[in-house]
Amino acid sequence: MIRFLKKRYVWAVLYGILLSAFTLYVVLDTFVLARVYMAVPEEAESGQSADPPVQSTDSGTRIGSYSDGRIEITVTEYRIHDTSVYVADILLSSADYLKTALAGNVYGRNVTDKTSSIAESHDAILAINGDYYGARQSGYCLDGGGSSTMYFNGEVINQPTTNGRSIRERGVSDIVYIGY
Amino acid sequence: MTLSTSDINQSGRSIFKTGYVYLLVSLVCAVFGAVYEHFSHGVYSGYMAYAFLFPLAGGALPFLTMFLLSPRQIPGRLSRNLYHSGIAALTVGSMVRGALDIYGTASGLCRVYRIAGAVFAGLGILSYLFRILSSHSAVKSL
Repeated sequence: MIRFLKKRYVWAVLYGILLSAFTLYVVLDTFVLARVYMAVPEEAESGQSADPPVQSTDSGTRIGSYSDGRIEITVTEYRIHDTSVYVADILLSSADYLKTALAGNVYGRNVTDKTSSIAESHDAILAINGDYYGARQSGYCLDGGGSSTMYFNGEVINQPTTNGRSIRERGVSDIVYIGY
Repeated sequence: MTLSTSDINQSGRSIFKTGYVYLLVSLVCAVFGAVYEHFSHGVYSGYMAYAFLFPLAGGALPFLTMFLLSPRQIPGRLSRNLYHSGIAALTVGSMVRGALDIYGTASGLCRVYRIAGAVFAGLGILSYLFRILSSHSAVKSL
């Protein structure tokens, strides 16, 4: 057996196949194969839920507000499951005040800028990062994760992350904002 | 066993070739990592960016150093197979981990690469050291 493995390139071929197969399994396990960690409990016969719904443990801390008769914004910070959650309640007299802006004011590929920079250049009252349209060829969704950024009254109020280690804004392709 | 001059030259060329191949692999990994980072939409992963260090520091450097210092003392085929397997596992594992980090997810299976890489590389080194000790003992007994 050892003599067979010592033959030229036999080990390399076998090991290459093994390494490739394992890597394929890792990729499938990460993106394709379904795994169930917890099943949703069935509701009791009385029609009431077995467990109470998840609620925030506090009523939140109001960290800022804005009102000018046409736009009303209140930003509240909640602490839920050891996570800071920022909620902006927005009331607009017209949908015209809900806007979007592109990095560098251009629609392009790999054109990015920080949410706060785009917001500041458009005098935004409140802004969040947009959908990062360049990442996919179709579909619309708000980019989340470490990119999540909320800008209000001239400052970033949450803690966006970059490369998972530093707390700083990432470049984004577009934002959604409230302003004139 | 006495090695002829041609055997020593051939061994030296073999070691140099191995180091040179590792150098090329390092270059490929560095270019791949740089391109991947460029298209990662601002997301950075050290595992992807520095994956080339495994074949460079773990492969090119020791083999080219070995060629410069003592071409007589070369690892056998089993030692080299084990060691190359370890470096390959560490390099591939680093790139897979980097790809997952950039995508924004993770997998516990990535630790298998680190464990396999360390075990194979360690066995390769131990096998080589055992070969050296054995040959020294054989020379002393003559």
